[in-house]
Amino acid sequence: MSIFDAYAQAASMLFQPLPMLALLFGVVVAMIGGAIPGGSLPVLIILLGFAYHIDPVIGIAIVVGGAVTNTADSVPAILLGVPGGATGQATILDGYPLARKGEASRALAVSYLSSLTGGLIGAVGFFFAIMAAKDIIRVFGSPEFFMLAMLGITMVAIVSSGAVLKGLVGASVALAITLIGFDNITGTLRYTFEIEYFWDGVPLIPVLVGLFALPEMFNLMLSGKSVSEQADAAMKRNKFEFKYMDAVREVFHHRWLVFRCSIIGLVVGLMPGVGTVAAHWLAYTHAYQSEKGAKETFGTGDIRGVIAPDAANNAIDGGQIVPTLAVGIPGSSHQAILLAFLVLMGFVPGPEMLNANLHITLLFGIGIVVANVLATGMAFYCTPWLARISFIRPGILVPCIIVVVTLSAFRANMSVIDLAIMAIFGMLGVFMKIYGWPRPPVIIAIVLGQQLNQYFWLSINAYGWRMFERPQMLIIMAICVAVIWLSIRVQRSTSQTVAAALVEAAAEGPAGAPDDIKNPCRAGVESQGQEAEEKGGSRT
Amino acid sequence: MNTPDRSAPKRFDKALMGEIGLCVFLLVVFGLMFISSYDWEIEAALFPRLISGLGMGSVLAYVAQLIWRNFKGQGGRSQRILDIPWAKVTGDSGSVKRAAFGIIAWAMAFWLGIVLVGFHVAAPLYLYCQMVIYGEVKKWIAALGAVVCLLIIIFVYDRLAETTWNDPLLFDLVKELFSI
Repeated sequence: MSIFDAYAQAASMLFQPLPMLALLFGVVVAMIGGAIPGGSLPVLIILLGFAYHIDPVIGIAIVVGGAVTNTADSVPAILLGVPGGATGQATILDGYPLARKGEASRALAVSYLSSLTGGLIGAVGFFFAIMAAKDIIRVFGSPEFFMLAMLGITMVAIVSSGAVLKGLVGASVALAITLIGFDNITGTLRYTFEIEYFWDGVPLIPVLVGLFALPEMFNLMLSGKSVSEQADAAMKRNKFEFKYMDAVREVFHHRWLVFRCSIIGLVVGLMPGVGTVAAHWLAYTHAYQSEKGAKETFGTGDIRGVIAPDAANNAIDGGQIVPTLAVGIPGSSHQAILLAFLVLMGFVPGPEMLNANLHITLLFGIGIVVANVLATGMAFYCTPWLARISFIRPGILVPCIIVVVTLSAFRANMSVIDLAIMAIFGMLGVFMKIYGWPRPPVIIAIVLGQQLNQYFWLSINAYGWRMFERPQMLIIMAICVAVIWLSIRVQRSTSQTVAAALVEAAAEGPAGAPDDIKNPCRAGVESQGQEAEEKGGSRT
Repeated sequence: MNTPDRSAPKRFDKALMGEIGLCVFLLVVFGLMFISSYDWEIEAALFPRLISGLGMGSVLAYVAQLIWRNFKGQGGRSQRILDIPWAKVTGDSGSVKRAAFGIIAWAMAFWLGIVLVGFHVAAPLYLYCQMVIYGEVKKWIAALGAVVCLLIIIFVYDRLAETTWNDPLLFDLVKELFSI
């Protein structure tokens, strides 16, 4: 199939009433999830429960809409000073002070338009990167895929910077979990403890729900009071009246900043494992260092401090989706869920996605473009409602989400053991979140474990030690080592620059400004104290 | 007899001991995994042996790092991780612990309720109680939420998604009692 035929097929599949409705549904889900502090992942996981039962095109349309539009993440960041998820942390530094000045509408409008531009640039980057990957991946065999899967797991652990070993331990535990069940190659039952339920292995959805959804809900419930207090104040200060043309003019005025930060997002996304947070902070610190007068105004409500991270925010998805689809290495928790969704629907990431299923892969690219446009349009018209969603008391929101994720987990095998697995992984997730153990390596190892086992066996059988004589494998190893080295350097330099930016912003805050503006290391941004490695471990 | 150094135990705080305890547990698990793989033929056993070896190696390295950092006085130093960080929780330690216990206890009660009385009863009831207690909404609003939850279970999960529900243990027990 030529690439043009694949484009035509992908477009004809997407531009049908049902897939378009599904995409819109996914965008709505993403908007609602993004508007809830810490809610984007749990809401996305709810969709996983239906992955088995829907048409693949409709499923992909939903998951593209749900996983790759981060437009609404800036709503809680700007209005409440609480990040919507992993994203939105850098936006708080200037977005929240703008909202406190009563300029939330301006900040949100500019944020939406920057996100749209970033998303479109990311989609263009995706098309070019996929074409390049298609040619490269033709010369790959099982040893190369084994190495890529192995490095996919270790890379995420390695870019956890100070938590490399924690990431490796987590990945090892997850790989051990994937060994449970019937071995497809030899027919041996491994680690099933003579329980029939485990013959098919540990189901993915209860594990995902437990690891990602429950800890977020637990944290949101515990930290809930401060959110609702801030919500009352934000509602009093701001009226949501958008001046569209002013926002367009403002983004156009800073077009080169938008372009540069979108490219930063795209490139960081293409490097598996560097992560969304790093892209945000790189874009923010790039603007901080390169923009005129930024050192005086950033951290006090400068619109460029909103434009920079939000342009990178949606551009990163276009980049991240390339390694996820081409080699099965997800670059973030959202991409890990997307990968899980694909696996549940029967698609195998790798060469198949670039050859036989190329049209499906391109469906993602076209979906990103449409989803970004839809998300921006919806964000403008639905901001007052989105704001209200982010203001819902956790005491109301959390039980609703817990009920739905429990139903999703139960539907994996329709067994109460699913609930026990969800609860066990929930406890594990809370422990990992509190003690700073990275969860993405666990989920990536669970998703890639079977593949790793299969490619390992094929490589050993077909090549033995000769697999290390294959030049393409050695090239992959070299590239991966280079990417790991580069990723660690990017992470470290970002941490150092962010530390400097935070310290300066704290020191140069406006006279009479509230403490939380003077010191951006507050509420949700407290975590950036970790990024900056400035603070002690005073976690409650 | 030497007097024990009172400053020494301080160096091993509860969190560190907890992490070391967890590592010991993981070491045992990986060790057992390795040993039990000897019952299988090599094709089935090779990958589990590699994984358990990797696991033991990384756990041992992590324990060594923990102890080394603790003695170097870097124990409290936080690390940047590729994950959504723990949002700061305000309030005194006692009230936070009570709140955490309450949330966990309610969730456990909900899941136990599913086993005992099934989703159709446990989910609306849990939602109602949570909305009244934690959401602080009026009782009729909570009741409305519970009814909506029941309708979603019936129409979306039951009819549309054709979910096969578990047999509630309590109902089975009641049935058996009546049949007796």
